Amino acid sequence: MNCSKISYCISEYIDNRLDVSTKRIVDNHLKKCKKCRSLYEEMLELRGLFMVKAYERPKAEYFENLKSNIKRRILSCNVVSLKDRFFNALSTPSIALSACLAVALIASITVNVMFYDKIQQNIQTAGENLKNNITQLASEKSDSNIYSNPQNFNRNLLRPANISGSYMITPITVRDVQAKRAKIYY
Amino acid sequence: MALLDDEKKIIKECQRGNAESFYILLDRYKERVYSLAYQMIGDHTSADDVTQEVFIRAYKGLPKFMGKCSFFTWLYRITINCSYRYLRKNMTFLKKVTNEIDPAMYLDERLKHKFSVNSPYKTLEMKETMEVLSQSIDKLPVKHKTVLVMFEFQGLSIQDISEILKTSPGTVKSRLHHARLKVRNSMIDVLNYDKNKKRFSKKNAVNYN
Ligand SMILES: [Zn+2]
Repeated sequence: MNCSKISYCISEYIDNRLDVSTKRIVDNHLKKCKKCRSLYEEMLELRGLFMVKAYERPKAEYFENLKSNIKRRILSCNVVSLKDRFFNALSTPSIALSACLAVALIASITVNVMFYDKIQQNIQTAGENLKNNITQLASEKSDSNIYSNPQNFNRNLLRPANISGSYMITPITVRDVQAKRAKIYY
Repeated sequence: MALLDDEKKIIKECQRGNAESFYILLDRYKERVYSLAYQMIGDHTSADDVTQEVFIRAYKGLPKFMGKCSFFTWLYRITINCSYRYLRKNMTFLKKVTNEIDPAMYLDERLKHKFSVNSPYKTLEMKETMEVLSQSIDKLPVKHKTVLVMFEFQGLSIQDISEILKTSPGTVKSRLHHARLKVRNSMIDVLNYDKNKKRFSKKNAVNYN
């Protein structure tokens, strides 16, 4: 074995990892070669220094502080992880689907509750309009009644007299009723 | 390294969301994680930051921990990754900061005693020697440094290191050797200081006799 190979073996030699035969070869080489021997001695000294440095450590009380810092951060971590867990659960398809359905249900309920009055009002006004229209339609059919009943003169249904001097009835379109319906249901 | 039996239980508890069980692991490994981070980065405040980061990551990542390796291997892997990231991000800051002797660090009293009585380094100031050693280690390429720190300072086996770094034992051995060689080369004067001095004093002794 040449010096460069021996030099590579010296670490193994120091750490006692060589098999018996290789150890013997290195031993014999170290006896003969001054250069490799000094490398071996220096490496051995260096290991002593490493051992000393390995004993460098902070005082025990230092770790109490570190520990409490870590504990505090873990506690705040837990709050976050609850949030995480919630959103992680949402990534499961079945849970996500039911969550969506629940949200939709809640939304529709709140809309119904919050706008209950308005919707009812709309339905009522639509109903009244319908009623009016129907009565108007009915009165349209019996023109004679309008003229004969003096109360009907107060109603705005009657326009001022035209050239011929007779009263005309305001035309009523059923389309209006449908428009009201459209507003409520769509 | 296989997962330890009691840790298997503890980890299961943690995965159920029991933070108290995690504190057992925190107590068990905080000093090791801290010292590894410190040895990798060479700065006290940075090591503190990294240690906190490591345990927070471990806590968050524990639900995904499958127990294919020991908890310790897994935790060390996180520590190394966090240290690398920290080194990359704070390169310029750390260049100014490293090699300052940290007031929080101290040498084990027994060892200090041993060091001053039996060691051949007593002729040099111990503190000075240690400073030169730290500087030499800091100059190492980060991969060499990692292996050296884990083997020499953390006392891990070649097998453990190769598991943590996910490389072959052969690679670990070769990195260790090159790391030692580099440190030896940059410390050669310090290493031979004592030898020369010893030789000198021996000659003197002979002369006096
Ligand atoms: Zn040789």
